[in-house]
Amino acid sequence: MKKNHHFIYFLLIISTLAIVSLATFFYIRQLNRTILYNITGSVSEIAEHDKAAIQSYIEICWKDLHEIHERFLSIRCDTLQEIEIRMNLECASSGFSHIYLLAEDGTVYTDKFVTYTPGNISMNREFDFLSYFSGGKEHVIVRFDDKAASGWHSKENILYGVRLHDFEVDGVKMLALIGISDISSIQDNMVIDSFIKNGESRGHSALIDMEGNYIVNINKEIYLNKQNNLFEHLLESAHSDLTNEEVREKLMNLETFGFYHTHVDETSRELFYFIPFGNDIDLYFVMSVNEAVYTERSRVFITMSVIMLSICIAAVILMLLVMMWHQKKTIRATEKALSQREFLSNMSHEIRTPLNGLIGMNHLMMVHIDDDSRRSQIKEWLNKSHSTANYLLSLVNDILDMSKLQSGKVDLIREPLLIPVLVDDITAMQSGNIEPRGVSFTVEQDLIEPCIESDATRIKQILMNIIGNAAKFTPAGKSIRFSVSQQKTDELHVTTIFRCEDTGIGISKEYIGKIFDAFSQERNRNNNGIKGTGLGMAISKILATALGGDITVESELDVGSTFTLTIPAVIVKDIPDYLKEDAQAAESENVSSADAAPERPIKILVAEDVELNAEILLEILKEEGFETALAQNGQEAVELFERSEVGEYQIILMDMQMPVMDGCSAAAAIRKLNRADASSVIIYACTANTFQEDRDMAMKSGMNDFLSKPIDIKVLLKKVNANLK
Amino acid sequence: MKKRILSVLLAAAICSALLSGCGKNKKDSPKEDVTLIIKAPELALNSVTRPEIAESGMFLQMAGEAFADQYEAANVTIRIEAFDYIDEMEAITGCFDTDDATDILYEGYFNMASYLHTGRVVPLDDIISDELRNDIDDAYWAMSMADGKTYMMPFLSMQNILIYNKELFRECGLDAYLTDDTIIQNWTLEDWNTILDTLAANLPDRTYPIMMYGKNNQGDTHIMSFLRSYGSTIFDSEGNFDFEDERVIEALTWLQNGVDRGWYPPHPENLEIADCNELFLNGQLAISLFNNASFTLYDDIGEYGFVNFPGDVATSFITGFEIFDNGDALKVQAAKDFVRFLYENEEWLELSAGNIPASSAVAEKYQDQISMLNEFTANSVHVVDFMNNSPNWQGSDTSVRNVFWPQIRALLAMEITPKECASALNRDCNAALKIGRQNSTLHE
Repeated sequence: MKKNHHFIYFLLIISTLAIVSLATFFYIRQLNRTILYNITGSVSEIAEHDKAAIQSYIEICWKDLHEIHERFLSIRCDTLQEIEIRMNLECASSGFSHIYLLAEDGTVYTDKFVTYTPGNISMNREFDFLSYFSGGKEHVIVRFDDKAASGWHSKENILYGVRLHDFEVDGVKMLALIGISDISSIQDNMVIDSFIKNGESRGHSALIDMEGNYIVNINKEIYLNKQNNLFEHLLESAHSDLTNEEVREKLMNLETFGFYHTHVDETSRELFYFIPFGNDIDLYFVMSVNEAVYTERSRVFITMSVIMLSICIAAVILMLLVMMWHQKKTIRATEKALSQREFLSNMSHEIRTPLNGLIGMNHLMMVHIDDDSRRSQIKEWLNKSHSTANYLLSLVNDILDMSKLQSGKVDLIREPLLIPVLVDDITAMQSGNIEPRGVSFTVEQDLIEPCIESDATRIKQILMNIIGNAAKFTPAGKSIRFSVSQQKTDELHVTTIFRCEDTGIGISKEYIGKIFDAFSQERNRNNNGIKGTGLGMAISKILATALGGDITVESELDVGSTFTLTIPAVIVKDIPDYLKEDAQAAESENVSSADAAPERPIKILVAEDVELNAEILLEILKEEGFETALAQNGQEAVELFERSEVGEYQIILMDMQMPVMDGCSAAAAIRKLNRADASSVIIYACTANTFQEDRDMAMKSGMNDFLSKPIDIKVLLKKVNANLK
Repeated sequence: MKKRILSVLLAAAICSALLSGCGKNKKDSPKEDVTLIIKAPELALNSVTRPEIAESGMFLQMAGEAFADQYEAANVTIRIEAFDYIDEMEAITGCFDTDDATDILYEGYFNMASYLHTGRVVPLDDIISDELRNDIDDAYWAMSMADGKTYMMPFLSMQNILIYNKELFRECGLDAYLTDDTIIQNWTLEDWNTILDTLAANLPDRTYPIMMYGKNNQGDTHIMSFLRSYGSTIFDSEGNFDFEDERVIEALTWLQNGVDRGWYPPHPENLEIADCNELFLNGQLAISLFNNASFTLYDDIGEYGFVNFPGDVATSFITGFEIFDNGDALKVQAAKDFVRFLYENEEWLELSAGNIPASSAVAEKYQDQISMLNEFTANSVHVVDFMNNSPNWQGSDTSVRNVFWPQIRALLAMEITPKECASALNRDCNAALKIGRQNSTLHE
């Protein structure tokens, strides 16, 4: 059952973890997608913004050229030199490094007074500016790397051009005004501050033409690698979401688009975003952002999410555990309540049954007490009442024992004990029950170490249960064999094995499994309604376990049962003197009669506050030949003793719970009296409290021994005789 | 007996194993890895020995690999980095104390000299043999030294003179100044005035007599050459500029008057040297700058004549090597060994033939193949040390080059008088020298 629970818990935890893992996986994937979407959105926004800034810059450059042209018109220039001087001055005050006038025949007049004539090969350079304005273009922006023939003048430039209409100088028709600007001026507008970390820019922007040629590119790595075309860059890349052909097609269609590609060294992945300019600007704005930018951002979110998820999972698990704990507690409480209810129900049934018998028989006896013809029947009812009362007593004792044991209060007194004495005691007590019923009872002892350290009372209690059961369930003509053997574990320890084999009615297989459960009793045709409390074996099992041993049973219905009690214990090599004396006493008892009447009259002082109990006790003692005196409380007992002659009372039976003065106080007071017999008078504690602490308390107050109520007169006489001897 | 023999054999085996082990360790001990970063601007090489090695980067790469192949003291990897002049500061001083720090710089002294004063350029006297010392002209060594130590290794040089268009001279009736011989002429100041005035008066429209520019610091060296036209050295005995010398003021006056006399293209203050060169190549300028590296620009060099600057002045641009100490002695040693390797191997040293080789032996060997080598060699008597080993020549905003040209621009724009210009030049340029001297630290 427990294993099943564990498996269910394991499955529950695994399922929870699986669900959480799956949820986490999808959450993080979705989070990445969302971040990616946001980054793409962010990149597109930045790209749109930067594109707008660059477009504005380009348009300002064109506007500047238009304004220069307007000033040319307002300040009349009649000669080409005048217009060149004008251009020189305009250039000096403008942001352009050079200003050119392009004539319709392709001749270029410059602000630096150099005239580039088409076909002039002496310059080793030829400007083909006319092609820029083909197709009626009004505005031009192109990359213009001016590699001067001298080799001294090599610059990366941007050429801005505006078409002129009806502008003529010294008979030369001018087609366009051109301004050359160092590439750095537009590059300054393309620095992306958003993606700079530790001084390193992880975002780059570029201007490309429709063929993918870089017009402006501020990715220094590409520049240093002399990559002049975007497609060369992309071709070198290992993976790209779009092929070069697809990119080309999109460029031709003037689409705004983005895609990812992994660089050739596969160390970085970039998002490329493309926006066409339009408005006479036949260029694309390109922005590339390193993947690290958004992985860093997503890492923060993921870290936070993982922390939050961990906290949630921990909280859920904690709640689950609390719920499980609470549920377990509830189940236990329910089970306990059920168990208690069942216990009470059993108790009620078990106690009411004999009481009912007692009341019934008492009633019958009262009705027929004067009917002499029923005398033999009344005697039978009295016997039955006596046996029922004894059963009731044993039931109460067992219930109290069981209750105490179940609450974990197993009091063990480990002290040296002599196994032969213990066996003799049990044999003596049980043989009277067994042999008269025609059942053979044999006892065997095979001992290595007769003296061990254990609890004699508890062992005796267990064995009395086992043998008592055997006696009950072994019919006449059958046999009971009680054997004791030992196995030495080491030099200091020995395991004593008590085995009770009977050839009685046996136990069914179904019941064997429940035999050690409380209130369990097999009801079958064989036991013939033999009563028991159903607690004896349960108590025995608990006690055997508490003693470090075990109790097992083997049985076959109609064949018999074997109960085995194993008790491990420490070997006692030096047998205490008092045990030796006990042994001798036992031997001598075997010789003389155990219940022989005392040789001379003995006077017993009975201290008992309950009148009925006192009357019964006094009557029994009287019938056994004792002289008696009664004290109704402890104080009175002390006074009676004090007033008596020395040696008048040999024995005092002291009830422990009495008004005025309790038994322990009275015993202590008597022991303190200044008289010769104060210390020698034998005081027996008589109480219904059978717990160890009560015994200890009695012994501490100076009493000699302990007799539990109702007092077994045989035991009393045995003790009295033993003491008198 | 058997035991003894076994013991001897065992001992011998152990000794043998130990010895072979030691030997193996020594043989296999790995050489340290050294990466030499050699930086250079893009410079045309014009070598007559191996024309296919067109520029400095290729030369250094090939020589570097050859050096690494034979070098035993370390596993050398050569990394060549080319830089644009505009990025030079970033490439050199900007990389100090980084992984990209320059170990060897191949460049003109014009720029390189500034780095001597950073305290990071190491003296090279220990790799200059007597033979090499004698092979290179003392004038080169003089320009390579500071405080008695040699910090730069001259490899080749270019002489700066002027070139004129004979056709334009003829068109203007100046045949008298033309010569059929390929020589470097010297004209008196009177000749110069006559020639420039004649050209101004007779050249076609939008064609101008002589170069002049003031837009930026490019070509400022040549303007300084003009300032020597009246005989001043422009430096005093203590190495400071002496622009307020009467002769300099006369030269400044001469320059400024040229604006009104129509000697220059209009508004020369808005022109730069490159513009003037374009005008000359386009036949719109009669006289312009020339040096050894310019021969390739002209299809028929016979159509041009050569003349020193007014005052019979020429200047020389030396190109060579510098080695930087970046705190790694092994790298410094490897760098020195590389430079020594270049000078000790003819294959690489002779690549200097094309310009004017620093090595006399190379010059002599290739004198017939190097254009006008003899003429330039003969003209070396007119070469002046334009830098005079001055600190803080270029780089910072307060350097000589950056404070010089604004005054010339103002002079050409007629914004200041020659005297004012001289005074301002003295003030600003000497302040630059002072800063340079104060900050100068030579490598110990």
